Amino acid sequence: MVISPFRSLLLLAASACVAVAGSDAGKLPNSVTLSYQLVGVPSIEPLATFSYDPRSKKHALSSWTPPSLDSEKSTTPEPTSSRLLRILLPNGSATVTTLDTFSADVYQKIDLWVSPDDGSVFSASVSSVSPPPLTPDEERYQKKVARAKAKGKPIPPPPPIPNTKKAREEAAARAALHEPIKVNLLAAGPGPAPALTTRKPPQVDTEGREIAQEEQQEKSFFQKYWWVFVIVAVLSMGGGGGGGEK
Amino acid sequence: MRGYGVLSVLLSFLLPVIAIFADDAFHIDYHHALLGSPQAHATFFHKPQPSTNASLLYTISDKAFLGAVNPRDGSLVWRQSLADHPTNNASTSFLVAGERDGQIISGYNRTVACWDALNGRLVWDYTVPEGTKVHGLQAIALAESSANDIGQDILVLAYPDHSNAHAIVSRVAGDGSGARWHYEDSSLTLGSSASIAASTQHVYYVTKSHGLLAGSKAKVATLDSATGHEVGQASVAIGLEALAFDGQYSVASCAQSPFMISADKSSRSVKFNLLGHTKAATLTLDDKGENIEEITVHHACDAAAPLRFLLHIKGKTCQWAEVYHVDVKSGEATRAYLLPATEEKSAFAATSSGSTIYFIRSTESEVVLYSSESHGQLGRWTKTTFGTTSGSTPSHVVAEVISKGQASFAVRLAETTPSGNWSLIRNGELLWTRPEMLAYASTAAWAEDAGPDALAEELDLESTVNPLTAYTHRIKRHFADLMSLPGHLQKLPENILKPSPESDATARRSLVGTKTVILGTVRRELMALDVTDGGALKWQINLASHMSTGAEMESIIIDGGKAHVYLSDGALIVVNASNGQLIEHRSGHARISKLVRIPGSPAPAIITVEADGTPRPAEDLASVQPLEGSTVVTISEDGKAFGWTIGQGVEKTWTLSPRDGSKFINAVARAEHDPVASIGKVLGDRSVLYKYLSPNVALLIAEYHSDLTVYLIDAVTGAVLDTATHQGILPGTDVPAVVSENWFAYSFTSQDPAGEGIATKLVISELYESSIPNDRGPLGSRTNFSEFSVDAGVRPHVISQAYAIAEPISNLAVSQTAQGITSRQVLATLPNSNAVIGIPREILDARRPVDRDPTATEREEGLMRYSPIIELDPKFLLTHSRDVTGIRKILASPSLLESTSVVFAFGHDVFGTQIAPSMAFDVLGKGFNKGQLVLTIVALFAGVMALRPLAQKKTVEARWR
Repeated sequence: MVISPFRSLLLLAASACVAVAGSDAGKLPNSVTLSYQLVGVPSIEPLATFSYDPRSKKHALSSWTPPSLDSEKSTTPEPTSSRLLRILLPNGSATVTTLDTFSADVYQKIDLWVSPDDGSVFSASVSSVSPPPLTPDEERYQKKVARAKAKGKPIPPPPPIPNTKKAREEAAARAALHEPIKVNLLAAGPGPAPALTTRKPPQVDTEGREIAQEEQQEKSFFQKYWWVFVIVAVLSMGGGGGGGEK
Repeated sequence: MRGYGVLSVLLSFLLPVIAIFADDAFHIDYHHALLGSPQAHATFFHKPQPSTNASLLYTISDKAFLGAVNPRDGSLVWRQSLADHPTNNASTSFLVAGERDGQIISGYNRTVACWDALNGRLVWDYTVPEGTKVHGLQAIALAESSANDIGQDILVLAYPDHSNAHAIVSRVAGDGSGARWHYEDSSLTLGSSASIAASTQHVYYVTKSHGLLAGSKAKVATLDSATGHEVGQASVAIGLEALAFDGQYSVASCAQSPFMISADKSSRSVKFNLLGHTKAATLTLDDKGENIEEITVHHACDAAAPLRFLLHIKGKTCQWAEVYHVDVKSGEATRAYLLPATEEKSAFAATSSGSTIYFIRSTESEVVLYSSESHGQLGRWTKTTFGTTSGSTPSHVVAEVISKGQASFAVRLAETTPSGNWSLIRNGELLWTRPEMLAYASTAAWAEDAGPDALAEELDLESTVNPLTAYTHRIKRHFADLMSLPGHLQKLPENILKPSPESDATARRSLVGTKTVILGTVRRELMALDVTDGGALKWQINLASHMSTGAEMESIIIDGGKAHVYLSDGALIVVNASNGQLIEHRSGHARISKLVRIPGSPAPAIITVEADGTPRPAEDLASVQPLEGSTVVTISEDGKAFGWTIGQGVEKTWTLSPRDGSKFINAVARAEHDPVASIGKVLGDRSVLYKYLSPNVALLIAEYHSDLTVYLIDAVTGAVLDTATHQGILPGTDVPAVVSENWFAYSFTSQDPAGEGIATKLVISELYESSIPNDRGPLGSRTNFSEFSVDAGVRPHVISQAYAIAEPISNLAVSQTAQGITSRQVLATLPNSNAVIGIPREILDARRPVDRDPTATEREEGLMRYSPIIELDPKFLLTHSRDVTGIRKILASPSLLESTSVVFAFGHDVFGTQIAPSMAFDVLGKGFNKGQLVLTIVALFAGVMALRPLAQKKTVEARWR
């Protein structure tokens, strides 16, 4: 668990985001609560609550209580495979994922499919995403932490984020790109329809009358196939000489 | 000389043009144009043209198909479907032939229709009032022939459907100008029997009320044939059981003197009444000391012939016939003679030729011709050239007799056997057989290929034993092979010089391999068809005795040389797939709605899905263990989709409920055998778009009023990968769908919300790992992963395109080849034009550039400019010019050749072909000329031989210099 301190840091940032979003959540019209249930266990626990706007696709995570890994893992009979977990929606729909999806060293992705007519969520699935590669600064800090741990020294503080505008923007962009809990609000859209070709608008003169386009005259038979006649003529002239010798 | 040269130049232009159209059409494909089982009362020989003596065989089958069959070869001349919807019980259908005017009149449901007997074109039709159905049809000969040669009017009895409607007898003009008169009977109660009969002056309307109080009297109303006014009414004594078909009392649809006949089986008597006479005569049947089980009446149909009829009496152990002559003046019937009782079951037919009436008796082994005058046999033929399929007793026959001089007769007999064959026997010799039972096919499965190759087995053996033994085995094998060499060499010149069409066909069959389909019918039969050999019947077995009433064949699964037939009540019948012998029968406990086959060890496991959508491993294969983690998707009756994992037990994993009110109606997954040759699609610039090739994708189709939503889901996790909604779907139309490789296609018919236009659309969606070429997404560097591993939840990049097509599609399938190298064809049934079409996938490409011409790289890739309408090119029609009706399902299976896919379609007609979507790249075409090749080699050899002395001389001379 080398990454975990860093992750916890990010999570802290994320929960800060959640807090910020929470204040924002009141403006979003719809909300949905996901819950989870271990397969074979009757109890259902809440997992997350989202508020969202089905039109603008804005969304906010207002609570996040992932299952704790250690307590559940101990009951697993086979240690090799992770336990299955149902993600439940209020309407009874459920998808399946494993407990490992919520492990500390991976990020989570939540896909929410929103129905176009009433804006309700009809399918939700949670999957795990590998975290982004570390920047050189972070890598250096990770090593420092590891060394400090090995020696039993107190863990050094993280490197201060440079207080320049550019650095802040970069960090924000990075965080936006790799959120620890990425929520995709997906709308079920209309299916494809045949793309009908339209005619070019007709050219009209000042009075609005259509200017008749000059039709290209089609080539006559002779204009098209004159070369056949040339070949036939050459062949018949060339082949004609034989009779005279006899 | 000069002109000849020019001509040869012009001819050389023509030659390749002829060569292009040489095709395998009508050689490798076959079609059984079927009618269904002919019905005894609506089948006869009839001369369609007054000028010629050639007759056709007309019938209305119990699938309500009216058809004409050429008695010479059994080919279908024409057919018309009388029913709007497929039916299996069209017993109240009527067929009347016009008297030498080239017309044939049918009555079914509410329609009386007159057809041109020669080509089956509709001449006119007449609809009976709402609430009634045609319940009788008679021809009334016109007194004087009218100007346009129509010899008869049609008498129609419309029988009420419900208590508010009345029975109506109408006389409809034979030229289609409508009804001449109506006679309404409002006193008829529902459930009573009613029938009509006509003579030249009178029309008789016979009713008998239903119930115990009705007594044994029938009411006969006599109507004036010209005006329809009632001129008389009588009450006539009748027996308990009517002998005419469908519980009617009056018979003689075409004799000049109609009569009523009914029987009392217990007292061995028959009541006979010549209509127009008030008294009924009681005919006592011959006492053979038998319990009489069934009596049928046969009589000939000719105005010129005297009135005679034959009673066919079926006893418990023997069957005989009694012939009666009727005196038209007094109305008395007298027994003329008895035909001997035989233990063998018989079928009788009556026919007339001129003023002579003949009776024909057909048994399992022979055909006997009797005159109606006396019991002397005019002819007797032993049935010959019968295969195994038609040996059984005919259930009904129709006959045609031609008298050739004094004592020689020719008899043509059209027999229907209980097994469903319809065959024609001429003088005891089988001419043809039509397998009409194929029209009832409801389920089908590919049988496994004929046992493993002998050579492959030997090679397997050699690889398992130690090298020395293997070597000696191989030497022995080669010597054994050499033994057949002289014979082969002897036959070689013959094979090269005399290529026969059959040898071509057998050579092709040895390349393509033998494919067998096992079909289950709604008639509870099971049969095997050789699909590569013109759809020939291999074996047939009737399972009716092993099936409980109401049970239907749900699914056939073939495994290890056994065909497992699962019935809808959960019972199982196991049959040997190679010869149709019954192996095992197990009764069922619970209704099953569907069956799926999933991988298991050591053999594939069968999962039955119960009516509520719960899967359960089938009990019969306790030894087979389904593979751990197999997933099954089911749809419950209330329209929810469930995912289940099956391993040691069955566990429900995910649930997907579509939005409120909508229901899942169909789930489609990739075929069991769906090999993918290439994991990517190479673009014109040599970069690769990687295909999203998950074996676990499933397509779920939900309907909500007129909305259609298609969900692409991951069947393991239940996560939705993609959705598409279409609006304005026409209710009651099919939404066929197919999933293969990395694409899926579906079709639907919808109404344009703005206009009233109805269009059928075909949507194709292709799935890729990433939108960017040469990118495999986050999973690119992994060698293996599970559905639950990190980054596995990535959704595919979906490219969709919709095309409008000219016709609705009722069924979609995809061609299959052994390794999936050959490009695929989307196979579709076009019910409107009665055809099966193969649309190449290159045309149905989702990436065709829209509103612009393809760039150079796109052209290199083979992409064409998008056009919103797919023209169904006649070249795509796999059925060519044939009329293939009622196809319900198309099956495709790989052949031994990678280029070729075997296609089999069934439903009503049966159609089969072999397609090569990427052209036949691994077989020599028809253009290959063996003789020419041999001649070229011989000529070259001769040339070398001729030049040899010259060349030798030249080298010798060169040395000396």
